[in-house]
Amino acid sequence: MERILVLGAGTGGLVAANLLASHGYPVTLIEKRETHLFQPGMLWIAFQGHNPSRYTRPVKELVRPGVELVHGEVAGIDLGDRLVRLADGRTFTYTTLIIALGAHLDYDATPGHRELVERYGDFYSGASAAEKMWSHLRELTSGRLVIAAADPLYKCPPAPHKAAFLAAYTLKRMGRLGSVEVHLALPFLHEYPSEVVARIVAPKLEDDGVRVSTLFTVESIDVREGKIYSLEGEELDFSLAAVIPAHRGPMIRVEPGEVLDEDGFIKVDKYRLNVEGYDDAYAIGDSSNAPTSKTGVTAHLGAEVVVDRIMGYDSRFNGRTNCPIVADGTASFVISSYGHPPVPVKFTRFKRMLEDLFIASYWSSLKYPERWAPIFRAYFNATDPRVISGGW
Amino acid sequence: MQARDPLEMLIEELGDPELQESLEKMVKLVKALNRSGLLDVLLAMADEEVVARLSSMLVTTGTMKLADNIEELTRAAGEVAQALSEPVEPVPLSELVSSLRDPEVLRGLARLLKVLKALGRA
Ligand SMILES: Cc1cc2nc3c(=O)[nH]c(=O)nc-3n(C[C@H](O)[C@H](O)[C@H](O)COP(=O)(O)OP(=O)(O)OC[C@H]3O[C@@H](n4cnc5c(N)ncnc54)[C@H](O)[C@@H]3O)c2cc1C
Repeated sequence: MERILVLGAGTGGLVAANLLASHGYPVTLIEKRETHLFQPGMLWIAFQGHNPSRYTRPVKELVRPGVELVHGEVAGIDLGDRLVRLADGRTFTYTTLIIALGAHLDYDATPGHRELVERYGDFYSGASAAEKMWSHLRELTSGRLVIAAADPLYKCPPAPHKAAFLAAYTLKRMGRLGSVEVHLALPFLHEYPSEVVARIVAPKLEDDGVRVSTLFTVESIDVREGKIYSLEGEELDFSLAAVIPAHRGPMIRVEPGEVLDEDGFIKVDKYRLNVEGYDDAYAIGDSSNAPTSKTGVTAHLGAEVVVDRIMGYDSRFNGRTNCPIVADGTASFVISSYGHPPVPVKFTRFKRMLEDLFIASYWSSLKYPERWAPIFRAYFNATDPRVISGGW
Repeated sequence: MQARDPLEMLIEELGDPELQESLEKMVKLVKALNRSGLLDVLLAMADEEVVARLSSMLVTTGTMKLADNIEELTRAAGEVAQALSEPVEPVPLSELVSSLRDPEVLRGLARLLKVLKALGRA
């Protein structure tokens, strides 16, 4: 009997499972958490004091009636035997598998990192860590807030920029931006991996009062002394800091091990998204090694491609990204796809409104993806990097 | 914590006078929408294909660029409207040439050339 197994009820897994259910497929969705977190929301919790309840929903409220939701932690996958094993010993077989387990955040890779997060929270590890960050930010009256990263590969490449913009805005409103320095330390040559984007973001960061260090990859953190050391040999003092951890593939056993790359991400065909060497297993979103940015948009579009393929259409993933860079009242997007590096996209108020609309549609688009598909398709066609290569 | 019966919760909610008032208004609104025929239009538009056609018509590269620049456009239109409302005398050729030294006129001309170029491309 046909059974499609979807692993992980994050952005990609929920879109895939709900879409399949809307087409009448029998789907089982396995998730270890009871609540789904809208991850960008951590930025607003941590740096603007938003209430976490705005950004979390029980997983069971986000699945359609046709989806069988299993609460449990995946421990291993055997692709040859088409078998998924849970930590509690339960096993599931499948005819088609969709892996959407996201990325693992490796707080142990950087000495001092765990201590830092335990003390100050951050904006990557969860809603309560973000609340903790906010409780420290609102007390910060002088010194330096550092936003940094331990590795150049992390989900949502403009997330540290957004963090810096939002923090600077909050401090400005509190009248403390002069006495508190917001310092963005980036592991790149420029203010953004893409020079085209860097040229747009750099002046905006300066205007908004954010100091920037480039070529600063966090190597270790001394919480007691308030110092961050970089791989490149620099150091920064801090009064408060949030460091984005190194990302790895999901922490599960996968047989055969060759389908994992050196960081544990699942190797896929970058267009069809099937696991290398298997046509009955797919990996989407952050857990795959598809050569594009790890973002919710990518996970959502990947889920659509995989469901199309399961239905027999020759749909291809084009690596499209649409990462918002949110600043005070305005926004820009990092728009790229396979073979098309980011195009110049200026900061405007209209784009900020678009981003507000995207956020407002989030819960509905997870549960009823087929309703939103035509609208999103129109937007992605209108802003295809080939079409707006001259800029937007 | 015991999960509460949703029906029980609903009955409790219904005792709330604010909800009662909201519901009464809602019923009036729905009836009015139905009488005006608007509900039928909305129902027909909720069709997937209509949504697809509508969004591919409304959300285009052109409209995205237009909306993005709406503030500049309306500002420019405001300036133009202001200029149009001011009285003018016919300009002799000699003055026309000397007004070409005005940096605002030159910037305007440069913009006009860009617009002409874009029109030619379109
Ligand atoms: C601060 C921040 C800001 C961001 N901003 C944006 C943005 O503006 N736009 C954008 O597009 N993206 C943004 N992102 C990125 C986006 O949130 C992720 O890329 C997206 O959620 C990836 O979806 P996914 O389905 O691959 O993984 P996830 O959404 O992470 O889902 C993975 C799921 O798998 C579950 N899981 C993991 N391991 C197991 C296991 N062993 N067993 C069972 N379940 C398991 C997890 O609990 C989780 O529910 C942001 C991320 C952060 C942190």
